[in-house]
Amino acid sequence: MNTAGLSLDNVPEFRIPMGFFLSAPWFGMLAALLMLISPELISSRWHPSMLATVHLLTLGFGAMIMVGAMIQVLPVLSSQPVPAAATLSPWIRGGLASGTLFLALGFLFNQNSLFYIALALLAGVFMLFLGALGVALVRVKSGGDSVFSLRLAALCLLVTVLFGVLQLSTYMDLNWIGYSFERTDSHALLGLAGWGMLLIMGVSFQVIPMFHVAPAFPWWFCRGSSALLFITLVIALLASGAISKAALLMLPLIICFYGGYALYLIYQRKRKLVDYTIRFWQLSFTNLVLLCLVYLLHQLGLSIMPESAQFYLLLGFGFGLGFVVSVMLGMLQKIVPFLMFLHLQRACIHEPGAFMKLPNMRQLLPQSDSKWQYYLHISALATLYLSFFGGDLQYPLLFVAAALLLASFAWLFKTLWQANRRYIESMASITAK
Amino acid sequence: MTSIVEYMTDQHRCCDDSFADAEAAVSAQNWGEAGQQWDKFSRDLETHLTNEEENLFPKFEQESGIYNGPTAVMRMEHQQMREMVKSMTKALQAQSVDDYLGLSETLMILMQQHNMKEEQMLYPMTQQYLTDSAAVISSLNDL
Ligand SMILES: [Fe+2]
Ligand SMILES: [Fe+2]
Repeated sequence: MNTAGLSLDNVPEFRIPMGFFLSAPWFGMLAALLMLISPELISSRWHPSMLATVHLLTLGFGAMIMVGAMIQVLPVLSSQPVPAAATLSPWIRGGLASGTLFLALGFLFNQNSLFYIALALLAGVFMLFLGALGVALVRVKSGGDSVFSLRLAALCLLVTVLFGVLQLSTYMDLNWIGYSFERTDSHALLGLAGWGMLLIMGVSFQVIPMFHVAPAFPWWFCRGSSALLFITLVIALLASGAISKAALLMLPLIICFYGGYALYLIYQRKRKLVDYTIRFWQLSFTNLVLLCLVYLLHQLGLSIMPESAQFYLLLGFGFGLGFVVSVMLGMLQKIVPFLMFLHLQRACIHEPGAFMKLPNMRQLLPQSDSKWQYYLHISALATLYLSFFGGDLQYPLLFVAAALLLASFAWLFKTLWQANRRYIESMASITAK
Repeated sequence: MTSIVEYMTDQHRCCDDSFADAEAAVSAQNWGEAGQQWDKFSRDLETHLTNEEENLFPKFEQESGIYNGPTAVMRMEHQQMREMVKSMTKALQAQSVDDYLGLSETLMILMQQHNMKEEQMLYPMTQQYLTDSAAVISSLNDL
């Protein structure tokens, strides 16, 4: 009989995920700063500043949050902790931070030595993380629907990293393998539509019903949509010609169906209170559905933009900032104060008096902070979208979007840092007794 | 025929309804409605918790021989939920929207997490040990 699923003792210390969450906004700020200094990066996805910006966002912000969340969420979802999380975390965090910086500098200055360092650091970090995560994901016995998606997500991350490492090694005159544009496409597709998408799906299956008292995702939907997405991705990457094209048409259909269904469940929720986490979810799924639709139209020859290259940039930024980052911002507003409360509550388990005086979630992370986060993010996003249709005004608009993005990431850091300080103070007052 | 899992899960959903209604009423500062829904919620929740603590859990413990396992954790969480309900009743009496909503946010997640563990693990386990669902259910108090 497996009763371990009911124990909360495997939840890691709060400073572990929080360390990741507090590091991530700095990379968002750096990416925004680069866009601010050189808005011309939007001219091409191969622009050195663009490559640097994209990796600051995906590795420095995205992966940083996702790794921290994974270490935190897995034991809660499956009672299976990521092994040695406490020992590994500082190394993973430090390696990911420095590796991302070296990679970005490498792109900016095109220096082989920088690429070498980045390659060693990032390959090492992901080996550590995926190794530990892999052990945990294999050990999980009573894995629910979420764990099913997380396993597929981890596989996608593995291949994403592999392709990234291969591409990077071609930058460094290691002539054992040729550079290939297709591999970059596969790397981006797997990272975004594989790892990012499947991870968010897995988490959403669990937290949307839990935080908002919405109807549960049926099990067949969870398993079916994740498996179908994964298989379609594999086909899109391995097949060629018409089959691969068909798979690339299937992909947005599956994602669109998931996004639409999630919006429907959110609409059916019992808790109708104004809540910025729910607004972030609605924002991200609306983005997702619309992006899938314009992509489908584009594939059918009806494009909203004359230039294909610009269209793909819009698609990428829309998916990254409009969907993935929106989800993350929304989740942080709720998960951070909740985890804090959980830890405070456990600290005063033998002190009923102290429990009554605990700050509640909205005192730990005020609603007004979440509100500002929402409006800063949504205005950055709107300006960014607008810049693609701005004609001569594209660079000035992008400049404004970058400034708003910078403010949004800075606000995130401020919010998390203040919440963390309140948490530390409350914890100190409990343990002082 | 209703299973124990279904019966108990329905009680969770029923509590969710009045909880959400009370919360919406507080945020609209509709205190009459809020008081009514909150009374209904706290009464139903207490009935449900008592069903578990005095009926379902002891039966499970006896049949399975697991006394210090999941049921002990659940009992402890019930105590925490009761503490929060007390604080929220105070906030409601003081008509303090911020206090109430801050606490209700927290209790909501605490409760959902708790319910999820029961619905996914504990109730199915209980169902395995207590095969005569109808007899068990008839001994439980309806909301
Ligand atoms: Fe319970
Ligand atoms: Fe229960």
